[in-house]
This record gives sequence, structure tokens and C-alpha cells, in this order.
Amino acid sequence: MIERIDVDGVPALLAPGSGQTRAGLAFRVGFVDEPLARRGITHLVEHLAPYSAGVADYHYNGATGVEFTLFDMHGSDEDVASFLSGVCSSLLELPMHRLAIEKDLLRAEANGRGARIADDLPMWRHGARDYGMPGYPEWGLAAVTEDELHEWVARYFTKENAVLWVAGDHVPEGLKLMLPNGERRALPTPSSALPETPAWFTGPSGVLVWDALVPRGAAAPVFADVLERAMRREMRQESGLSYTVTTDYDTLGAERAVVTAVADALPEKQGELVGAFTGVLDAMCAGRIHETDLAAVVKQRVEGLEEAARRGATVSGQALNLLVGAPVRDVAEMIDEVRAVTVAEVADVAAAAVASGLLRTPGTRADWAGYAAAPGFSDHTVDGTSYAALAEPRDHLIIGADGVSRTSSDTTATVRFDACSIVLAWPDGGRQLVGHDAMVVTVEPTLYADGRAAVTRLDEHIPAGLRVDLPARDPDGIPQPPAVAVRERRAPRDRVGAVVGLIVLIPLALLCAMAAFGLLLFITEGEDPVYNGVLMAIFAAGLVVCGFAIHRCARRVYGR
Amino acid sequence: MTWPVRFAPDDAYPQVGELRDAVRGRDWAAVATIVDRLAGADRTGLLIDVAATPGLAEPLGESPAGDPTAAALLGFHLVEAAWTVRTDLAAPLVGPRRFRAFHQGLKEAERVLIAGAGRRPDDPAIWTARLATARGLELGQDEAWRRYRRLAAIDPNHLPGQLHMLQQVLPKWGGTWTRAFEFARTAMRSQPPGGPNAVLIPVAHLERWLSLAPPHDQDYIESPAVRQEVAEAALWSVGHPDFARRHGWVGVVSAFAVVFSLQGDHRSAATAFRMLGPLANRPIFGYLGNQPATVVRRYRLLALSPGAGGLTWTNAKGRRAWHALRRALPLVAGAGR
Repeated sequence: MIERIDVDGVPALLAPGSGQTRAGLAFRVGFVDEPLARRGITHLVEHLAPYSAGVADYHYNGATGVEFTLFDMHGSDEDVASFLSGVCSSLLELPMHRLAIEKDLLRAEANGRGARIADDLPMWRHGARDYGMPGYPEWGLAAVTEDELHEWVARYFTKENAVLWVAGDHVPEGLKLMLPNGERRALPTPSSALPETPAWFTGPSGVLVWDALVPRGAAAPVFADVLERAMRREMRQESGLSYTVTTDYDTLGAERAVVTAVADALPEKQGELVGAFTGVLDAMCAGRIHETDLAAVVKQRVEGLEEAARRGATVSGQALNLLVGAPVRDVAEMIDEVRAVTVAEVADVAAAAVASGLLRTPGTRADWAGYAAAPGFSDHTVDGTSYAALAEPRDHLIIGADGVSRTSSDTTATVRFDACSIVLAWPDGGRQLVGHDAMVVTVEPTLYADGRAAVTRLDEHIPAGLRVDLPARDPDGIPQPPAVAVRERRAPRDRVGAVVGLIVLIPLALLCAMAAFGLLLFITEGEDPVYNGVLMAIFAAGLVVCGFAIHRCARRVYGR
Repeated sequence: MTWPVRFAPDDAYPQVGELRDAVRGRDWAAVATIVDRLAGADRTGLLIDVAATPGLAEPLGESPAGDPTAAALLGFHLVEAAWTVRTDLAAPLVGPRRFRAFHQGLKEAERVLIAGAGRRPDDPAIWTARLATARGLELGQDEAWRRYRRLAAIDPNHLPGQLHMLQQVLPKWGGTWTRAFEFARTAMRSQPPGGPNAVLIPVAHLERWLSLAPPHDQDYIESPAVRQEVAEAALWSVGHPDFARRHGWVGVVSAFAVVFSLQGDHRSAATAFRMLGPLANRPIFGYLGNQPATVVRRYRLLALSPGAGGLTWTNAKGRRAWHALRRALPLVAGAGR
């Protein structure tokens, strides 16, 4: 059914469709290819390209995704041909005069989009690289230059790295895909920020989020749907714990897929979420999968595929398969595979999912359920110059030739320059470094003794290409040290003195107290009561003086 | 009178020894036959009693994968082993190393039970054991209630699970006295008279008694309200003609014997001790001291002596004597964990 052809050197898939012609051009480039310091560059290209195609009335769509960038269109042959041809020609010569405007538009789009509920899972799983990118804002936009855009297009938007798909009976006449030559860009190998799985970390209250890597195949999306039905039944209908329960399925490269699940709960019942959700998963692992669920899911998926086939909507997905080297399939073949999925296969996917799972709990623990804590701190600090925090002198910022660390009494965050993804820089001296492992070190010069010197020192070491200068922050957004901390600021030597003072003064005070008390007992019995009385008064005065000094020293030691 | 005191569950329930031997002999068919003779709370009680035997982890580890009875047995056994490491002392007295080992043991138990629950989510024994792990691992009230609801959906009057849940709703495990008594009273009323579940009432009062310092503890247990409620609970259970000596009955009768003895109501205690004969429940009598056998003998003697029925200790002299006795009994801080 799907015909493989070649259009101007671009591999193409042609499949029958109903109604107007639908066609699309996809490139094997997406968030995963972007370094964090240039995050957003692909989206920028995708926005610039259709501009010169004069798009106003067309039903066109451009989308930048994790692994792909797509332009698609439906309409008359003429419209489709002119749109896709226009995209190609404008990729050859990007409308750079639109650069500043498009950057602003993208920032506005990002503001309007808001955070999605499972945004931080890729970051926890993969760090601040490749497959961790989807969770990060388009921080690189401010730094992207025209030259870099040209390089990006030359690298990724090429004939070899593109695929055309057409849902219709022929390639629209007049379609010219004038793209430069290049090569097919393989997907990066996913990085991992998790030393072991299954893993967990805590997130905002009221909702549990989970994702897992499973082998791609017909059973994987079936598992995702069966999981949703099981969650709905056990967490919503039977226990009234959750209102929203959803799962999602997405491919990752040619061989793997990501299954995501979300379940919410009222704050007073959220302590049940981890147990309820892992219980559902464990039952599926053990093969306790309702035949009725499986049958319903298979029926739904088959109907969905048949409907998509009628509309010619499956060919776009097959085109993406072609880009990553996954097999291109006919609908009939896909339907057969879905129908053949068994309970045992779904249980196998469930087992793979549990083993690779990453769980974000609503503040509760998950170690008891066999999940390992995902690392939230660094396990080492760098050597270098140390700067004490003004508010809490035990907290330090360390700037060395290898990287930057922030330490407090119980946590450490370190970003090494040779494993750094981005350095955000504000004109006021504020800096934020993100490591490959997604660890963040924020440097606020206002919060450290000698903070300015720290930033100067840091700036000398920032590797080329990682620094992204951002516009000035709102003055209210720049953190200020607490006023009381400035007044109480003391050099460490001062505190040492206070401690020594306490060590000397406390026994002295006790001595005075004992002497005064002793004299009081014997004041009338001694030979010279006046002499004893004077002596007692002296010791009592000594006690008062010591007490006052102890109070001062103690205040210094505890910083109050 | 030095009657024997038989704490071993084997003396009350012959199938305990049978099942233990079958497990030791790795005769899984026999295990299934013995266990399948019982159902519900009786089955759970049997599994708990057998799982308390030291050294069963090894044979149970060799059980065929996916056997729910073996999973429950191993779960209970690992919980019991973890508590042995922890000891019954109050939390602040347990060292950090012991606590780590305790939690490690419970996590191991939880792992076994999770797998068991995945395969057989309708096994009340597994959910009972998971109430024990939830409490030891301090998973919080929400998770414990979730597990209890799962258990109650299978068997609404599952006494072994209710005894665990009662502990969970006590202040020492993050609950309140109000909730604890509410739980005990609801559990008692939601089953027909003659059942054993009313035992939750004397156990809850024992816990309250244990939490109070002398002389308030004695004032509490002897107060008319407590007397009346315990007496009603007795009529609802051990004193009811329909009360059957099913698995666990020794613990139920022991709890009433203990509370009646504490109240100085030796006439009622005598009835309970007569029912028990030489049998007694070690953890229940452990509420009164760390020499439970001595405690049993002392109270049994007091209750069954000729004329003891008229002996009440409500007068001041008796109470002073009682306090002297209490001081002489070194009480463990965390009895009845």
C-alpha cells in the first residue's frame, strides 16, 4: 500500500488518502540534537522557514519535536506544492531580517505555553543533554547568531536527512524540494542521569508522575492503554483516590518507547498514591491483566488504525520510521500485530517498564516499593577559592579551575566546567550553571562575602560557547541578603574567639558561684563577718560579670 | 499451685506444628493441603503463628515461585525476624544500626509481599502482612489505610489485620486515641455477636493503660466507663454462646483475662482463665511484664483461688499493694509494640 519513491533526491512515501492532498516534509532534527546553550535553535528555524512561503491562508503546520521537525499541509495540489517548495527555498536562504521578531514570538509562545505536568522527568532521567532537553526552556535563543543558524540548517536540513510523505495518489505537480546535500543524522544515544532504576524523586504535591523505557513494538502502546484502564478502575472507580488518570506512549528512536503515567489525588489522600500506583503496575507484571481490558484496547487501537488509514494519516508516522531506520509498515501489517498481542507480552512490557521506571512522588517516599532515590545532590566538590554566604556563614560557594560548587551543611551541588551544559549570565552578575547531570549551581554575588570577586573569577573559567547572556532582571528579582545578616556578619576568627571565651568563662562563673554560695553559708560563722561579706560581694559581682560575658559570647557563636 | 503455662501456639492449634513440619520438609503439597483446610482469618492466624518460628527463611526461599501461601509465610517471617532485630524497646532506645537492619528486613519482606500481592491481590494474609510492613517502615496513615481498605474489601472482619491496623491508629504510630477507639468499636459492631473481633476493645484499653503513668493508669482501667465497655465487649465475644474456639481464640480470651485482672474483677477473670486452662498468649500477657509466664501464674492464682471472687482491690490499701506490685514488675517500655 505504501509506495517508496524519490523526489528530487529526498526519500518519499506515497500512500492513498481521501479528500484533499496531505503532504509533509520531516527532518531528523529536534530537541535531542540541541546543546542546552543553543536550546530553541531548531524551533527558530522551523518558525523562519514557512515565512517566505507566504503562508497566510494555507492549512499548514510546522512543529518541532523531540526527534523530528515537521512541515505539513493539506489543500489543493498547487497549494501543497508551493508551500513545501517555499519551505525548502527559504531554508536555503533564511529570512534573517525576521530573526529578532521570531525570537520575541518564540519567547511569547513559551510564556503562553506554561509548564506541562511531566516536564521534569526527562531531565531527571537523562540530565541536561540529548533526551533531557524537552524539559528545558529555550534558553539558547538569546545567544543564537545568524552564522549558527546557517550551520544548523546546513547540518540537519538536507536532502539525506529529510523525508517527504504524501497522502494522495500522486506527488503534487510543481513540487520542488531544493535542499542542500548532506547526510542522515543518527539520533544521539540517550544519556543517563540515573545510576540505577527503578528510581524515584519527590515533586509537587497532589500528583504522581511516572515514566519508563520499554522496547518498541505492538505490545508497548497496548500496555500503555491497558495500564490506563487498570489505573482508572483501581485508583478512580474502586478507591476514589484519583480523578485524573492518564497514560501516554511515545517512541524513542527506532527500538525503544517511553510510557508515561499521571495520577492525581486530593492532598489529604496523596499518601496513598505511590502504593496504589505501584500496586497496579506490580499486578500487571505478575500477569494479572484483565482479558477484557486487553480485548477493549486492541479493538480501540485497530479501529483507530483503520480510521487513520482511511484518512491517509498513518503514512506520516511511517515516514518518521524511515528517518530513524525503523521498518516502514503497512496498516494491515500493523493491525495484525496489534491483534496478535497476548497477555504474556503485555506482562513482559510491564516488567520492562517497572525495571526502568522513574517515579515522581507527591512528596512521599517510594524506597519501600523497591525504588532507588534518584541523585538530587552532587557527591563531590571542586577545589578552589571558597566564599562564605552572608546569611549562613557555614554555606559556601567554591570557585575553582575545574568547576563550581555550592555547599551547605547537608547538601552539595557541583557543576564541572568539562561537564557543563550552559551558563546563564545576567548583567547584575548573577550566574546559573547547569551540569550535564542537570545539577544547578546558582551564583548570586549579592549573597556572598566578596561575591563580585567570585563572579569575576568564575567568568574567567567559563568554557567558550556555554555562556548565554540574558537581559537585565527585574531589580525585585535579584536576591538580597537579609538585612540582619549583614549586621551580624562576622569573620570566622571572631567566632573562634567567642568559643574560647566560653570555654574560659563558664568554669570561672561556676567558681565564682560556688565561692559566693560557700561564703553565704558561712557568713555568720566566720571570725570576721564583714570580711566574709565583702569577699562574697566580690565573688557575686564576678559572677554577674562572667554571666554577662557568657551571654555576649554565646550570641556571637550562635549568630543571634 | 504451679500449673503449667503453655504459650506455644502448637498446644492450642495442632495444625501449627503440622504446617511447620511441612515447611521444614519443603513439602509444598502438604503445606497447601494444611493451609487450605482453613480460610480467612483462621488461615492468616495459622500463617502468622508458623511464620514466627526462627529459621524458616531458608526453606521458604525454596518454595515454588508464585506460591501465594509461601509468599505470605515468608513475608510474615521476615517481618518477625526484623522485629527480633529491632527488639520491642521504645523507638528512642533502639540504636541506629539496629534500626537500619530493621528497615532493611522490612523492605525485604515488603519486596516479597509486593510480588505476592501482584499475583494474588485477593489474599487477606498478604494484605495483613503488608499492614505490618507499612507500620514498621512508617509509610504513613494514608498508605496503611489504603492497605486496610484493600484487606477489608476481601474480608471486612479480618481480625489479624484489624489488630495491626489498631496499632497503626494508636498515637505511637501516628494516630490518636479517638481514632483508635473508634476503629475498635466499629470493628466490634460490624460483625455479629459471638465473633472474636471485640478483642480490639480490651487491647485498645490496655494500650491506653500502658501509656499512662501510675497512678493514672490504674484509675483509668478501673474507671466505670472502661469497666462497662470491656464487660460489653466480653458479652459480645468470649461470653457469647456463639463464641467458637477458632484459630486465635487464645489471644482473644487472654486479652479479657488480662484486663479483668487489672481491674481487680477476679470473678470475670476466673471465667476467662477457666476457658484458657493452661493456655495463654505471650504477647498479651507481655503487656503486664517481661516475665509473661510469671504474670499468668500470679493472676491465674489470684482469680482461681477459693474465695477470690469476692476480692476486689478498689480500696486504698489494695491499690497501694497493687502499685508496689507494679514497681516490682519491670515493665518493658514498648510491650505490645
